[in-house]
Amino acid sequence: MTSVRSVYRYLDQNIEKIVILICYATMTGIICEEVFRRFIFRSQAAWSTTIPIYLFLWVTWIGAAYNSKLRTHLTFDEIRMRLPYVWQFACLLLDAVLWLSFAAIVAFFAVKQVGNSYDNFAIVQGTDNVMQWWFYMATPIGWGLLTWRTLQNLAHDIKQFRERKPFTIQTAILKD
Amino acid sequence: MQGFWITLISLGVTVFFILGVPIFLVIGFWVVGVSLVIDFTLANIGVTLFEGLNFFGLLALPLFILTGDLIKAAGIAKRLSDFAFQMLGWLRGGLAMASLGACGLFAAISGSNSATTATIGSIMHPEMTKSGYDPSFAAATVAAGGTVGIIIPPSIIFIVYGFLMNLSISDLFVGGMLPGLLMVIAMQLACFLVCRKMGWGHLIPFDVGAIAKSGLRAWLGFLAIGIVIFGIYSGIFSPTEAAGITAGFCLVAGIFVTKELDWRTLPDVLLRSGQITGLLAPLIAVSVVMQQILSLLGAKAFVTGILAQLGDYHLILIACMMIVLVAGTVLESLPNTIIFAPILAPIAQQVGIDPIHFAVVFLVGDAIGFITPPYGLNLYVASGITGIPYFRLLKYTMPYFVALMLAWLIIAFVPQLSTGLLLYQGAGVFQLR
Repeated sequence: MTSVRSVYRYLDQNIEKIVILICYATMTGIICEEVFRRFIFRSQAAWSTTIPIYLFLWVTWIGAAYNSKLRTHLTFDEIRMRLPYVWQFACLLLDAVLWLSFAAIVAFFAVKQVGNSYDNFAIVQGTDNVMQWWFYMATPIGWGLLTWRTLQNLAHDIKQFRERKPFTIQTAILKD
Repeated sequence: MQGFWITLISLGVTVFFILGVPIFLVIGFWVVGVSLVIDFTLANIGVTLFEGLNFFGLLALPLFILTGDLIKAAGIAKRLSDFAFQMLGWLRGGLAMASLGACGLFAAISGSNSATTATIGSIMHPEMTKSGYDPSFAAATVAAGGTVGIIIPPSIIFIVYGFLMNLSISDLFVGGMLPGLLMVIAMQLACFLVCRKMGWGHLIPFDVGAIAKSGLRAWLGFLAIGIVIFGIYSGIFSPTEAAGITAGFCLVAGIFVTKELDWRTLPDVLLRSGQITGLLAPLIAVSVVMQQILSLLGAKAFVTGILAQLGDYHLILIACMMIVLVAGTVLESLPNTIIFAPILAPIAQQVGIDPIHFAVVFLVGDAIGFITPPYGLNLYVASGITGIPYFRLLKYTMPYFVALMLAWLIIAFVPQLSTGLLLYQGAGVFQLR
């Protein structure tokens, strides 16, 4: 039980980081390597223009979940910062409701899209056996993770509100 | 009745924006609301959030973001900044002018406004503060300098524009070179005038030896700029490949030459780039859906109808510029481009404005939006890295805003600035006025 809990804790802290690192490094590696191969060996793998795009989509939606976790999505927060405490809490609740509603819409239709791709045995262009649905899973998994992060943030905000502690309203973008 | 509901939804999401709801959700709920009103399937959202990004050219976005982070981590950005300081430090306001120059040099390797502001700001702001500049002015300087991040090639936004409007991204990059340079010079001039009046900054002696030494130390940066410009201008690489090669070059340079980057710090660099990609790419995807809905609503025909009454080349150009500027005050550059470029560019083309010239004019307006309130992204970034409140920065941004507006007018009314190098290159362009 303790080991399951520690695995959960590790994944909770690192899941986005792991996926982003693997996908980003692989995507960049493929592009660089294939350009060199084209110049030096005059050959290029057909999948080198398709797989990196799908990896980019994984980075995009897992990155979106990571930004939700850190609350760094782009916002105009100058007015919210100046609102009374209870209004700030109401705004945070509004954010959570909107994220969850939008995630439900996206996840519902994205799962359908994955299902279609799975049923049609669609393969990635330039490959013989790499299934397209593996990559289409980026959208529902990304939004599933984003939903989880929103719920975690909501729980944190409610706790802060109950204890009358300040909220995280403004998160500096790109600060070291 | 449909019009009433769409107006109500638009007002509702405006309230969301004012209340600080993430911009992704502001656009997303406009899309959901209007889709329901016009009875357009919501399945489109699920599909377009994936397919809207499924384009090889867009891969340059994460790669140029990574390049920006790598040149900082590899110490190349610091060396370029030192060189810019040695070049301009002997003038009144030289360090601030050097910061603007460093923004231009950084922009020539990276392709992002916020990365330019964040990187040069974190290097130069402490130096400017130490040298007697007002900290708010110093922060405003790097915020304004960051605007050239998307104009001097390579540029993420040019890639998106080219993708949307089916224009050669390489031609767009070449088109942005001289206008980007003009923007830097205009801001440096404004900076010089302000600093001379206020007496800010300590002067260093003009020393050719020191300039040459710092220039030699920055050779990796110049080589990276050379790779990008040569690759794009000669057409040897596609922009995406140029981005990949430059990222690879900066990685190798950082590990084996400057030795400021190692395998332990690399994951942090990748993660930071992934975070920025996770901010910008979702905005592109949701803006594509918004643009689809606007097309269905006949927004293009509506705007064309209004602008067509103006009739004249210059009036239509000015009207388009006003629309971009006003939209840029509330929208991030990517949504602004994705939503308005497909509406305005065909109108501009109808009256004979060269597509590359119009793209540059449009995107310079977009770039100015980075320092205009209420939503000025560069001001947020500068505020974040310096700790100076957002609203305090606004006052100090004014001289740069005026300088950029003047540069924008020159770029708009002298099309040769955008198309001249293309003519020299021999690429086919539309027609010049």
